[in-house]
Amino acid sequence: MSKLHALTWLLFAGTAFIAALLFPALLFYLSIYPHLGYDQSRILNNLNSNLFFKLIFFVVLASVIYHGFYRAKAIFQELFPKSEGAIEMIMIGLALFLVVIALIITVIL
Amino acid sequence: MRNKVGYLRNPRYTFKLIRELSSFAIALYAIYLLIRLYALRYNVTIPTYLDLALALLAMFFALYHSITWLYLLPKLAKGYSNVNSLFILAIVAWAAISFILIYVLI
Repeated sequence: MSKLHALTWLLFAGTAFIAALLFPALLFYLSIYPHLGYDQSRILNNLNSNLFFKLIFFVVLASVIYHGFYRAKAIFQELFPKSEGAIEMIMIGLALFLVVIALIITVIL
Repeated sequence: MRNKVGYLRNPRYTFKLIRELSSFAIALYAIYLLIRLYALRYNVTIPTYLDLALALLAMFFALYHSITWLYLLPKLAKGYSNVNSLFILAIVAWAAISFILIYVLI
């Protein structure tokens, strides 16, 4: 296993932990709780004012995105074994691009 | 597997496929959440019924993904006979972490 492959797998394992444990709660807070009467502007206030919230949002959303794209990569590689290398580059590249977008939206903006 | 249809013929592979796809589904929903968070800054809202439907679907996939992942954890504890009690302990710990996170965010 090359070092790069080992690194991407290690990230996958770490993000699995965060995605499985924390994403359902964050999803409830961001998407379901507002429909039960929670004021959405408070979510925005948390995002704008508190670095701790920004980091939680970023870490969890980025983990979910990377983890999901890595798993999809594995499925596509099983379905199309002749294009393993290209699939790896495209899916990991997309995942990292979306992680950067997540960083911009949740932390920087 | 020698052919692509193998995923659907064997229930264990079908279960594995759904588990993998659930992870990708919540990744796509996370992208939607980012777009929604960005739109919220400019007071752009998405229709309530659509937003709620997507949220509930994503929650189903997220719970499926989390529970199947937690189910695998006790299998790492080789030599420990009571795997079911480890799984229940993992679920309780996960529920506690989720409640604490929601409490902190609210």
